[in-house]
Amino acid sequence: MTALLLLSTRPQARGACMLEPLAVERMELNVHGPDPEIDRSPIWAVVYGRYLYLLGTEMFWPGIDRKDRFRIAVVNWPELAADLGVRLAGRAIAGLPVDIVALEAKELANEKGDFTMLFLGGSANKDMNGTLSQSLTRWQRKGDRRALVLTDGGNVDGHDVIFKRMKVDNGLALCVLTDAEAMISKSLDLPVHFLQKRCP
Amino acid sequence: MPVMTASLHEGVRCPTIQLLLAVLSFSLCSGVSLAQGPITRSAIELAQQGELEQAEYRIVSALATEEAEQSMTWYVQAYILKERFIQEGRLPDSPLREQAIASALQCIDRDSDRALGKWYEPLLGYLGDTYLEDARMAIGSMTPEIEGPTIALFNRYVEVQSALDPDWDRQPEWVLLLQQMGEAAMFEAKEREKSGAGPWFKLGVEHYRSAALEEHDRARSMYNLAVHTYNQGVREFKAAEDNLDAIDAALNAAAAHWQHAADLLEQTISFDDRNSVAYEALAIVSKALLNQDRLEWCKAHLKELGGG
Repeated sequence: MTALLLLSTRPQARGACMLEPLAVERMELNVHGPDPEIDRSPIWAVVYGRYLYLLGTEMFWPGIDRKDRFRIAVVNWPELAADLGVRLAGRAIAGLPVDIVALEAKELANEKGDFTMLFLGGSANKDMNGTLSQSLTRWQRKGDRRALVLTDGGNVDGHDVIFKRMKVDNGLALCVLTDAEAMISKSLDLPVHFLQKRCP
Repeated sequence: MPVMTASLHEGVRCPTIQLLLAVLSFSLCSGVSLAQGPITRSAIELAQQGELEQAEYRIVSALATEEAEQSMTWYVQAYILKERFIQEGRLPDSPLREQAIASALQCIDRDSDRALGKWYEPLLGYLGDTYLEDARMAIGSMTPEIEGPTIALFNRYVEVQSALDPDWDRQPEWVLLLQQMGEAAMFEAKEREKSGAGPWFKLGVEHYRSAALEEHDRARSMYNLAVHTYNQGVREFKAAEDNLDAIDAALNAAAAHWQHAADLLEQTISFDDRNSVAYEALAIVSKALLNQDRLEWCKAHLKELGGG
């Protein structure tokens, strides 16, 4: 959902142009609750979706030839999981059909399987960050987890890569932070293009 | 003559027989300006029988005599021509419409005390309105390369309305037409999301900007332009090629659109600081732009306005 409301310009009667909202598509706006809104806004789901897909297709995945599915888990950001689902419908990554798994933060802790990519949403939110860290730690203890763990800006214990949003002079950008040791332990390397997007 | 006035304005549903009876009975008990000569009366009788072409020939004959001095004669010609215009399908390029208007204007020239005003005003108003309808219909033929006849048709509508009332304010209809042209272009932009949206978007911006220059309904013009501008940013980002440089460039291009949308919404709110939809939209755009402070500001206003 990325479109806004429009006001109708249809003539009801000559000269009568009252403001009458015509809903095209509408985003939810949480006026009263805590503020995960920018963190997980639908438009940024689209932006992250594009970067994740591109990273998935450009990166070398060791041992991928022994797998039958390319599994992407999206934790705590259903819009992003939905966007990826639409984007990847009928497409393959690394020659494999793609599964998109949408999880709540607490569900991750109980997840038994491994993934190829694991993306954590809402990580910049202080309250959410703690929950994500706990769930990720519990999930990683269940076995040899090789998934590339990414976050949307927050530093979550056990992460490999952070895709951080930032304002720049000419607009907006995503920059990249990596945990080098974690990456080496999984024999993972970011593609050069992504390494060139390191955060200042 | 309320029945005749209403039916004339509605054009197609005009009951000719009622009109003619009205003309005859009214003229019998009125002064010089409502007088009818024998040839004009004969034309009326032909029209009454549905013989519009014969009636037209007859009224032309009347206008070749001293009956041409009577405003009623010109009105009857205008009426017959207007009826023929309708009978022939109300075609946009029919010369009958302009001929009818010319006759009505001749009638007005000779009707200094406006005794026939209740009759020719709805007739002329109807003919003028057909230009407005045609202008709106012509929006569908507009392309980024070809403007089409919309503006010319609207200008003719304005001329006719101004002939009826020199103080008539064209702004509301003009703004509405510009908004409709803008909306039509933006619809095309949306339909061509992945290829060719750009020229249509530019055309839509042009029309909405023109509309926003006018005071009338400015908040709507600016709000809708803001919404379309935001959506264009989303479209362009979605359409970017799958490589990192293209995506980064598209994100920056989208951010420029979103910033412009935010500016327009700020202006919309400055016109009406209780416009909750504008706050909602600005909140959404602020999320895209990572403007947390502005988002909080919008939320505070929405809460105050009872939204959310």
